[in-house]
Amino acid sequence: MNWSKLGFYILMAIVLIAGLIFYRWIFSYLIASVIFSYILNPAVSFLERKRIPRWMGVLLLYLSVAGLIAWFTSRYIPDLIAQGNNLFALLSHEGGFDAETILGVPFIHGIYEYAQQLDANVPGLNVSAQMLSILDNATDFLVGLPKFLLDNYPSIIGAVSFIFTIPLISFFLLKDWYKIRKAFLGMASNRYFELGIILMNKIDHTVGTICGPCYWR
Amino acid sequence: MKALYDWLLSQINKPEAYIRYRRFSIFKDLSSFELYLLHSIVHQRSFKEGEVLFEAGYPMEVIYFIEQGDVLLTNPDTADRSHTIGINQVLGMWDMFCGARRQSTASAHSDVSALAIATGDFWDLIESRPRMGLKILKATCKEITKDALTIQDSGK
Repeated sequence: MNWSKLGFYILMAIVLIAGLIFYRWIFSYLIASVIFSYILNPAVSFLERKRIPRWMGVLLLYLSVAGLIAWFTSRYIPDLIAQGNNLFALLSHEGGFDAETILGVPFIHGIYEYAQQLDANVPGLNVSAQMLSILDNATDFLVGLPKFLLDNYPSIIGAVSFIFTIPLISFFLLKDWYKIRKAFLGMASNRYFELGIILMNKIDHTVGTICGPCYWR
Repeated sequence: MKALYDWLLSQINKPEAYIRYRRFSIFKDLSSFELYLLHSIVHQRSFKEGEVLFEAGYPMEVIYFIEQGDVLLTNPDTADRSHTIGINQVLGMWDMFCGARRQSTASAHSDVSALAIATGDFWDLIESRPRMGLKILKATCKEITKDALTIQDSGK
């Protein structure tokens, strides 16, 4: 037995495992990007067959999604601002912020009245009491929200970076979709090449069925 | 500005970089853009002399387009009869229409360089672009007819 060769292999395995453990957080990004790519790939391939290069197709899709989000936001932003102002008014309410204050909101007050009617009609139901309890919990949460945000800002920044990094990785995965497939199959020896194709088709089919957009099928 | 326009045009029409696929008769009528689409599903493979490409009875997953070298095809039922497939010929086209299993065993008679296309990808491409598919299928019919006539003549 060649001990130096064996030692080298063991050392390489240790380095590889250590690398995998050290950079394990990358895998969640990669897996999410692959799933995201599988969702968008049929649309990108469709555009490619219509003579739109893949990189341009991905950008077009991203722009469409961004446009949709922008439209949705602009459509509902006045309502959101009004509701935000109401919330701030409630938070800065004199004499503290409690369930009674929230009950002052007309919409919630309507629900509360309906719950009281139900209690009157069905003895022992206690829906209004349950609602007050839920509102108390909600006010506790809202009061503690600023502190919660301050205490957990690293996780929040992590989540935001996750949301922005995934489309970036997916862009390159989608752009070089076929090159990546070819590279993976290129690694297989001739003996396992066809087996590799069968496996890849099965993976494509399974992941495509789970993640693929139903509208496309 | 003109350079940008030319570049954009080349992105849409695709350069003539994939013209080499026209050497195979079933792709000879395809446009440069169709060849570009074909390129995305083509895998380059090479086999040493004596290496087996596929064996009879195994599932049919890939068709090979021989770029270089010769491949010996033998049928286990008629082991004494074998024939050779050479440059610019297609390997596995008959199998593609004869069911899901290989009808013969193929081994490299000399060092072989071949292009491989998964049948699933091939059918997907044909179905997604019917005009392109029609060109390929017409050429495939011609090729199969030619082969059938050659076999018929050799049997006389």
